[in-house]
Amino acid sequence: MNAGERLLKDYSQNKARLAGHSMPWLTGIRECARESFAVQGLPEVSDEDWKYTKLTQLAQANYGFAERLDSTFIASLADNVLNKLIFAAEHRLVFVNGHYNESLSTINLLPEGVILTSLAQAIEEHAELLSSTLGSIADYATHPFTALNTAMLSDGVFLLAQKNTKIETPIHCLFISTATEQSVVNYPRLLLLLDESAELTLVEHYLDMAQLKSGMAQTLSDHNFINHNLTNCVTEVLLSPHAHMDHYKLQYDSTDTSHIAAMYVEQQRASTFTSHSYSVGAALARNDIQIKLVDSQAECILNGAYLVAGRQHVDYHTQIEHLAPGCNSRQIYKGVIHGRGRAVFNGKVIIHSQAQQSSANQLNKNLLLGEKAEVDTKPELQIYADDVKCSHGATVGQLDEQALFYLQSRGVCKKDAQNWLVNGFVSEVLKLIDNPVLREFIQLTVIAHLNQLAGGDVKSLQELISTGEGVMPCH
Amino acid sequence: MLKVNNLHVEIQGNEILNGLCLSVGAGEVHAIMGPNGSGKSTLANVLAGHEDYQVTAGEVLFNGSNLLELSISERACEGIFLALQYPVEIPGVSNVQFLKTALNSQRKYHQLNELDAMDFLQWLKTKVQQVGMEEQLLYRSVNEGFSGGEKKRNEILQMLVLEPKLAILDETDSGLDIDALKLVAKGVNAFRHVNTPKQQRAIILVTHYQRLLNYIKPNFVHVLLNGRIVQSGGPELALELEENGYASFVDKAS
Repeated sequence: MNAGERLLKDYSQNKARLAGHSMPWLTGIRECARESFAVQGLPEVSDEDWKYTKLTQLAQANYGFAERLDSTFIASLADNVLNKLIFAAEHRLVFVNGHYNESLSTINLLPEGVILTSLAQAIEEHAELLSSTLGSIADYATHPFTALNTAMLSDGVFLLAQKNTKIETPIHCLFISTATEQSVVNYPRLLLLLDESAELTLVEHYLDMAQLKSGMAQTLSDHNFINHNLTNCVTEVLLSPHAHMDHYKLQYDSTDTSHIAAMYVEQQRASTFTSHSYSVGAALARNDIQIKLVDSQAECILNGAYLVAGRQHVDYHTQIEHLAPGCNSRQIYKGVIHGRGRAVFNGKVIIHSQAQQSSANQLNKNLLLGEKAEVDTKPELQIYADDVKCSHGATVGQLDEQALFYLQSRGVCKKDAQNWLVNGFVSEVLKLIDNPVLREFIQLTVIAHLNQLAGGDVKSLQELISTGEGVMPCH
Repeated sequence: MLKVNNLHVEIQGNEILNGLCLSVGAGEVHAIMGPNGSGKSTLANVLAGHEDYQVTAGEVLFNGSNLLELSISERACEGIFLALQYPVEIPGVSNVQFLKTALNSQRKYHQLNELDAMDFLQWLKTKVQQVGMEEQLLYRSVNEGFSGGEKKRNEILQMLVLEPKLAILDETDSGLDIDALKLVAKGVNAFRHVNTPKQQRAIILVTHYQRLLNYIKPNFVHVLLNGRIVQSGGPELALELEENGYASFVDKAS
């Protein structure tokens, strides 16, 4: 039995445990997706979209169904994770190994016309809404992992913001993975619907307990497992005319796990979407971002950074389709690759013939810091209209020797000088984060990680904050 | 303060300095002039410790100890400062962060307390005024998008902040208009004239033009040709060069 078949078996064994398993509309969606996954199978390197990303570890693992954890462990998470988060969210949905946990979550008063619940609850309470929207934007026919997620979806986030509603503070969706006895798959699914002129900010945050160095030693030694979990998440976003969404993703999974994510966004007239995506953890991280600008004047901005080391592998595949006139898309992704890390960036932009006066630009810059580090970067532009402005660029380089000399000639030691240059490189993306609270939070997380990769002291986040500048202190 | 004896330096196998000797005393200003390719920038860079240059023979003593043994940053901490001919842009690192890190690295080296952000900023602003720099440039990435004049002024600002013992200015006057040149000279003179007996500062000016020396009066002028100093004198030597060029020295050297 190959890995794909094992995953299908997992589905047939557990489908009766999935939320809404007795609802025909949902089982219909699941069965179709299951069929599609069975036909597509797991991607192979012969598949153009997966040419540089081998799923060896994933194909060998024997995954099971993620069980709910007992309450004492959950209670320890509140102490070890939530109380240490430096960003206090007014609205926080917490998931543990894919399951929504009400006791860890906080949802404060929301404006009238906003529904924010776990997906499992929405399946029960808002079946009609979901049946007409779930799976309508995420196209699983060409992406086996989206098909798999659609077959297995059971929990996640459902958000509906009705016309003109605005949520001022970020909605924090925290997906915690813990050590488990057996390798498991988490299938988070997010369905985010913004009606006309609705505005909000949402953070998708993936965090593995193994990535938290302090305070968890005790808990982890109780469970001495080495497992290769898989997070297979799908996010669907529908933006009605003039709606605006800032989406943040922070991927900090354990370096034993695979993280395979896909986000699908459909943008109607004059809607705006901004994505800030930071990929730090996971042995293998794959992010597909597919955006359709279906009506005029829509705009999307994609910013991201990926940091890998050791034998980590990260792969960003973005695809932006300009389907209507006068839309804009801008992308900037930066990568720092240490050790034997490997990064793949594929940025596809399709300007359809009716999409005149489109403007699209794309930039991917990479810093190779390990002798065996590798990057495969590929811009892919398909332009079928004649009145468009498009640009793309890709760079792969090392630290600027002259800049290193400059910093050192002012008294900064070589190692710190290197760190400064790397931080500066990533900061150009970080400074694009508008929300000051999130900027500080992400900046500190990323810089602490860079510091650690550079072999510097593992500064705790608190220590970094105390410098007050969100910058690396000199040591 | 600085003693350079019989210095031989190569870059990628080409000998640039061959047997250079130079002695700079505390409180002195030395101008080094010479035609293109004579080795002026090589001398400046090798003193700062640039790794592209290999010292094949000779010695450099700085306050009695062997400078060549020290790393780039150690030299800076010991009091060597090089104002670059082409200051480098560092995207994503703000000018103020850069200055503070540099200063605190040096303070740490000397086992002094690191300055906190408020104290530092207050003090920095007085220096910024001295070089006539716009304050907003402090919050931009280092040299990124700065004009030629702003970059050179930024070098002088760093010098005023770091207060080195020996400042080497590598063609700091090149590409400056008259007003910018005066401002730079003012900054250098401010640096030069804080000469307490305990903290005597020396300057090496590498330049092509006598013009700078109208504003910063050197004690000594040296002519560098084919990798060694062929003539030394007082300020009048620079005037003579301005008049006659290097032709007579080329003849002498050959």
